[in-house]
Amino acid sequence: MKQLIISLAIAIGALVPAFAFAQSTSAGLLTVYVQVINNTGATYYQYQAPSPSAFTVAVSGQSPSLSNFPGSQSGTTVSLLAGSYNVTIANVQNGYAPSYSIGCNSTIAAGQSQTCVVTMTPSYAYNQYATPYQYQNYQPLTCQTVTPTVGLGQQASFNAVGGQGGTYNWSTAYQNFPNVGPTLTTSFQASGSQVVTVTNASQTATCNVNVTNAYTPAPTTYPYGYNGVTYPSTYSNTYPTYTSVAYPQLPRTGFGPKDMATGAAFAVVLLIAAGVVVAPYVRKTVTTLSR
Amino acid sequence: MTRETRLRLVFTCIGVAVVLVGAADLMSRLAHNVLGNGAGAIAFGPAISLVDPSVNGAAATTSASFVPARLRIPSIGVDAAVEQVGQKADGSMGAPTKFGEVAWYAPGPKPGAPGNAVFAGHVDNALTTAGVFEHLSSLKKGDYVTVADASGKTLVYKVVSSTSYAANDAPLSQIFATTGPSGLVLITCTGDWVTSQKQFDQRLVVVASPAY
Repeated sequence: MKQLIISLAIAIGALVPAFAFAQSTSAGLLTVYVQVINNTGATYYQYQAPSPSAFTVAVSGQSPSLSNFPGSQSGTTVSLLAGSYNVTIANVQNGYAPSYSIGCNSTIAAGQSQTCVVTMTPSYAYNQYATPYQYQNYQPLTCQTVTPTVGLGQQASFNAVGGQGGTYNWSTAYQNFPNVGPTLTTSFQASGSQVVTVTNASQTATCNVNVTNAYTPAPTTYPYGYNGVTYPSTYSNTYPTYTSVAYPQLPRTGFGPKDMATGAAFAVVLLIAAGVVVAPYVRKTVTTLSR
Repeated sequence: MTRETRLRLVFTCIGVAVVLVGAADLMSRLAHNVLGNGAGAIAFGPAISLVDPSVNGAAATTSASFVPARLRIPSIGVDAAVEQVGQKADGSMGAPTKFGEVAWYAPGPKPGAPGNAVFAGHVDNALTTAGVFEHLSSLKKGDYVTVADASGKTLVYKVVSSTSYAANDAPLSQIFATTGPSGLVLITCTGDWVTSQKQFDQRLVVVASPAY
């Protein structure tokens, strides 16, 4: 008898959890997520996007544990008995239109998990204007030639006036000077009228300088300063002046090769000339020796 | 055989020898056009090269800078007067006016001063004869180059590098350096003749440093 009681107790202890497990697995679990696309593009009419909880989620199906509840971006779990179900937004408002994932209108089996994602998208047209127009306070860019005439190798200076500020890109026919300040000092390797171009942001301006043939060495003294240390005449917080040293191009120290015919003809002419000069002496010597 | 006959025989032999040497020289120059730089050097290279010019040189060496008057490269038989040149209208360094002389870029450093003293010489001339730097490409690392002023003061250099650059893409700031260690730069034409530009497409740049 005692053994029978113990056996029944063991059987009951084993069956109860199994029954409870069977009961729990007869339902499926549906997790509903609600997300709202934020209206970050609106600048003039900044619109505060509603939170997911502003939208009411309605679940229809086989005995859902929750049939109406506020939306949540982190998800809300609803248990359903096996069968078909449908998820909708009960209060479409504030100009937001819902879109549903495939798991929002489906079937669920016992013990199965399903996921439904509801996306609320703003429907106002002005939201598309993401980038507001910004007033561009640019000044017209012009280029001023400080030294209208210089000699070969002599420093010429140019100032860029206006523009957006920041860095200025300078160029001549021979060299580019990117990312320098509004002042350029350089020298030229060829004479004649030379063009210097400066660009700043989207603006371009040009300067002209007349370069004469006379070679003028670079100045070795400075108008201001002491012991080689120069001081600007006025305070300026602009970029430092970019200065380049002019180096000559490599010299031309060769001539075009002559063809073989030209060289041979030249050699023959010289040999004939030499022969004409020497021939009388050879003839006299031979004559003398033959006597 | 009378005395007059013997004299005629001697002068005739000398004349014939002169003609033969001249003909050989001309043939060598022509061969240079066909075979390249090596032919002339093989035929008429110096029989003896000075190992250390300061040993055999008559003038004393100096460490001071000066205006150069003469440039010598014993290993390739160069002993040339120096012309002073500047920058031409097209921006290039001037070339010597005589094919047997070398040009010194006078706006740049003097020999012995900080930076590079730059010399240029022709590699050839229009009559198929040699320029003063015809055999510059034969210089090897360690060869001696000497520069002297008008009074005979001499600076001795040793070759440290020999590089060919595209004519329009050479490191000009290094070649014509006005600061840094004192050096010597020898330039001549090399590469291929570009008819449309009327120049060779490359330049041979030999750099030498003070030997002492």
